[in-house]
Amino acid sequence: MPTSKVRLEFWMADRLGFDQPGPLILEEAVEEGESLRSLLTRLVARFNNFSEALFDPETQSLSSEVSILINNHINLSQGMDTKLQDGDKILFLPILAGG
Amino acid sequence: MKAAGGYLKKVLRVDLSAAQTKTEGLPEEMAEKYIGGTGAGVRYLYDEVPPGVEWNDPKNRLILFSGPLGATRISGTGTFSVITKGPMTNLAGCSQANGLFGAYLKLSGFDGMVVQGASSHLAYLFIHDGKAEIRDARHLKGKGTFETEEILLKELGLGHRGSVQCIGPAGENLIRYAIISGDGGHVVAHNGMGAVMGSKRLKAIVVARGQAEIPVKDKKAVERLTRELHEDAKSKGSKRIYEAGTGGGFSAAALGGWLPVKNYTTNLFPEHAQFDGQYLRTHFKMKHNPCWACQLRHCKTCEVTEGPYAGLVGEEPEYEGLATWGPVIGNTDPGAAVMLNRFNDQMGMDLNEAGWVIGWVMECYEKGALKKKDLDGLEMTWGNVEAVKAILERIANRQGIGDILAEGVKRASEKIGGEAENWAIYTHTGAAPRSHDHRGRWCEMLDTCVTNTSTIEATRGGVFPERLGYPPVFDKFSPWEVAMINAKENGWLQFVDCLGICAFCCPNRELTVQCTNAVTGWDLDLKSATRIGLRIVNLLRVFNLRHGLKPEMERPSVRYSETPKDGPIKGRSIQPYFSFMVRTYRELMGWDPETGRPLPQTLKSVGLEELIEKF
Repeated sequence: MPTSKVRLEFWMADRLGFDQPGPLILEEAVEEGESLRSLLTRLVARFNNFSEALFDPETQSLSSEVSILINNHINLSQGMDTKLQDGDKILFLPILAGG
Repeated sequence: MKAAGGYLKKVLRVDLSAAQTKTEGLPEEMAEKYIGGTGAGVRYLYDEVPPGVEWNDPKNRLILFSGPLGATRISGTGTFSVITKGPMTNLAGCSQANGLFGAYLKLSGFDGMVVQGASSHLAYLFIHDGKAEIRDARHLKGKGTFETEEILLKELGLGHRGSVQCIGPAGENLIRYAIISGDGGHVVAHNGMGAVMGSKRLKAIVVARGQAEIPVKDKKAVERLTRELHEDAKSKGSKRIYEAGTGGGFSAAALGGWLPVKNYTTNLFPEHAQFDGQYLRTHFKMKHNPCWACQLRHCKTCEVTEGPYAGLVGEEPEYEGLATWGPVIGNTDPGAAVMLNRFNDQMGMDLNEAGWVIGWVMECYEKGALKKKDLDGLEMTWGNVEAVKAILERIANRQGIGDILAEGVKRASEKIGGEAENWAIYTHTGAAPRSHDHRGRWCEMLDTCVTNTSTIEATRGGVFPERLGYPPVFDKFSPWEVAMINAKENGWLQFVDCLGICAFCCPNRELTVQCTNAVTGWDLDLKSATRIGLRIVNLLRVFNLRHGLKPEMERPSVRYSETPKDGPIKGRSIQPYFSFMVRTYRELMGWDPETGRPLPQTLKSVGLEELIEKF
């Protein structure tokens, strides 16, 4: 099955479940028509704290403390079911308080 | 249940008209039902400031309160709340500041203080050894906040054993968004409380650190919980703040669509990385400037090391200072932001409202609605930081155009009129938005428009329902979810603001409640703590309704809610849904959806039956 490549950028990666400060950039192969939800479910298996900080595979939901942008836009009309395409850039941002 | 710790049970009463001070008892019911901090202050405000008393009437009260955790060794317990009727909204205002004052006030023998009346001449209050003196402050007239602090600490021989809360020329000249500033730049920012102090001709409040014994019910538990609360804050809820300050969220704001740029005319700021806390802390020279007992230690002073302001030393700006003095005014030099942050604090103004005023002026200048001759010869082009400094000084002293701008951007834009009226960022209650682009943060726009405190009430940077055991937010731009989650979250933050602790030091709710119980001997849980917070929210709401709040005021201005033209939130339009969100939120809060009035059963549920017939 043809695969596509997407670029994942984790801003402040240590707040998003990784062991290093950000930004962290990963290139990931995705199946044609794979959803964001499916991709995140796969990443949970690879990264230890991912599920606590970012995405809970049991409830299939993103943490309220994170925003996701695809190609610099926050408008995910299909939400977590958004279909990924070759060359998509996905940015994960923690939500912070300001002050 | 009676408190077995956390309270000295004494309140300082200051009558400036009669030039008298005295000590009163703190009623037991006040502690049990309203805790301290914002809660106690709101109850005093409600009981002592009736409708018809305006913000600058000597009968208005200026109330400063610590809380039961104040002056313990729990991290960040020098925080205090200030409660009054403020000039931006002419409704209740509740604002907090950190530093040392709240702890020193308790150590000098008082849980809180209530100031009424007005002095016949400029005065300051000196609190020490369980008593207070009203002293002449005429030699401090016109002096900036930092200067005033320095002079008073030296005059009184206090050094680090003293805490000063004071106003600058902006407070003395009754600028509507004047601040109270103390302990080297900790600011009581919202709703012009510095102007209330100025209307009382009270230049400063100085408290000398005393030796009062703060009773604590379970010392061992407090020791353990102090460690646990701090470890949690440092490694989880406040991790980024610990590492890079609140400015550590700057780039995330720019990338995520909630950074305010050039009066909301754009959402793009490619220079964001050099304003981020990570950059500042690795390029500027930093020095710790911690608050009382704070182990998070996010507050710092910094020396600028690059650009035209190299060598300048000032407070490391918080995120909102970086946003205001950076992208809001079109400035791309972080050193200049440090300079303006310090200068504005010295003049004594709320940087949020000052930024909206100046950003609006710059847009008016760009579009020809205001010309150089209207602006006392100043060229208010985007990023002209020296012109910004000059106009800040004119505002603080009500000189020339400064006199109009001193009224805030809502009133100033109404006075100028024409198309320029539509470019101003404000809420119709007068509560000033914080320095974010709330078109990218709907929960906070709703909160800012319907708050009863004159600043954010239910949210703090976002909403995190998982912390209450609820499902997460699925769509931060769903009007249904925004309204529901804001209503579900409301109450908790008002409880925290009663305790005398910095909100950054206590992101873990369970541990915060356990700390409170360990100090006081109470047996609160999350539910009962939130109920206390909702009691305060509803008391504030009734106060505001009695003092003139109308439901149609609870909405954003045209520009504040305008659809973004570019950037990550391009096309996201909140306007079509705003009134639905407000009505739904009110309904979920137990208020009439059209009038916003708390229903009798709601008041009963939070222990405020006495108010049912009062409005």
